[in-house]
Amino acid sequence: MPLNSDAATRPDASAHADELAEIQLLRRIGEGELRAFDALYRQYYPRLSRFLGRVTRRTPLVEEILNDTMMVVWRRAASFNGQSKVSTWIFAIAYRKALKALKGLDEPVEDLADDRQEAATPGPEQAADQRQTFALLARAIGSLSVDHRAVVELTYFHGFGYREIAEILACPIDTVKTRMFHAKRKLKGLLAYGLEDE
Amino acid sequence: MSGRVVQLDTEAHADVRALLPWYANQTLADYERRLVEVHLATCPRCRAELEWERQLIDTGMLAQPTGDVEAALVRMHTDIAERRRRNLVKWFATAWASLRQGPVWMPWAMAAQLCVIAVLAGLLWVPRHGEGDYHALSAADQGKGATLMVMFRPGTTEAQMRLLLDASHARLVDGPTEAGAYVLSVPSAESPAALKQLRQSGAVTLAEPIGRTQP
Repeated sequence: MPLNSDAATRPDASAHADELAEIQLLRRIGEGELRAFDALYRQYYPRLSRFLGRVTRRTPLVEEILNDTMMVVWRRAASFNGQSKVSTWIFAIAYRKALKALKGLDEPVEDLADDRQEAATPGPEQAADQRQTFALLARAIGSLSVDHRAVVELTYFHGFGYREIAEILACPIDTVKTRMFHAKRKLKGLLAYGLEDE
Repeated sequence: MSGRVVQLDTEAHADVRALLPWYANQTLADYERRLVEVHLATCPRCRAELEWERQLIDTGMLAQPTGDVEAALVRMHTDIAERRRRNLVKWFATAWASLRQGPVWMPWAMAAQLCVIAVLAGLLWVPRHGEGDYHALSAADQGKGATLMVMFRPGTTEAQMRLLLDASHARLVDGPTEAGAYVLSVPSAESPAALKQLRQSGAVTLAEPIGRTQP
């Protein structure tokens, strides 16, 4: 399941073509072409929406942060130098925007939108079990710190390599691995507790 | 000796274990992937760990509804338009502030510059005289001579007109007009002689120079 193939380390013609297409879109955006911007926006909306939702745990904030992120993309597209992948560049902007938004909030973050959604959408038994597990996982990830959440989310659900994650979070590679180690340990504990509790 | 081997195994195990999340999401480099696979073949704990990672991915990748992308994009467009408007206002404000801070004559100089720009733009916009008009092939020589207007006596034949034009070194460039006149072009130097010859001809009732003689 290649979530987000790493063109630098895993030559993949399709991923390379996608990356070139995104670079081309950015070039056109840099020239002020709104249609190219719309295409990139539609492409990134679901991924950014999910990432920001998980990192901030604030559903009402997601679109605002997402649009702030894309506004930076609109303004700075011409300055994209190709040293990183387009997705890495955009997610790094999104992460910084998310941190900035969270800094402006005083109250503890607790938005269990995933749980509410799960309760509101009953389905066949198997699907219900799956969604219940999903809700448990969402709750467990939500209890991690923002840094740990970001590493887990970017790795497991957005398919970034650890080098890219280090770029996105602006931290050393070893820090990414350490955060992952601690995040996994906590997740396992929470999930085991949650499953026993069911 | 054996303690050293155990330590190396433990280090290798820890290194591989740290890479497992990215082995699971298939983003490792080839050499790292091979390293992990060699270790997995002999380590049941890491295989179990990998299984846990894969289950996590499968569960977490369940589709989640996101917001309405088109509605969000409309708001994004509004933000972009608002930003452009603010930038324009800011630009004018900055320009105005710098004008006010400059010497007293600066606003007048800027106003004069704007007037000049407006006049030049107007000149560019208004088509120049004659530009875009239809030109016959014979118009090629028009700029090099004088222009005469001639009226021929009724009943003058085409052959008579041709002879007269040849004799006067004139070219027919326009006509007949509504009044029945023709416009001829003659070399500037020969204009007086041509005019005299035309006036003396019995076939011509009127021959007058018109317009400017161009060099």
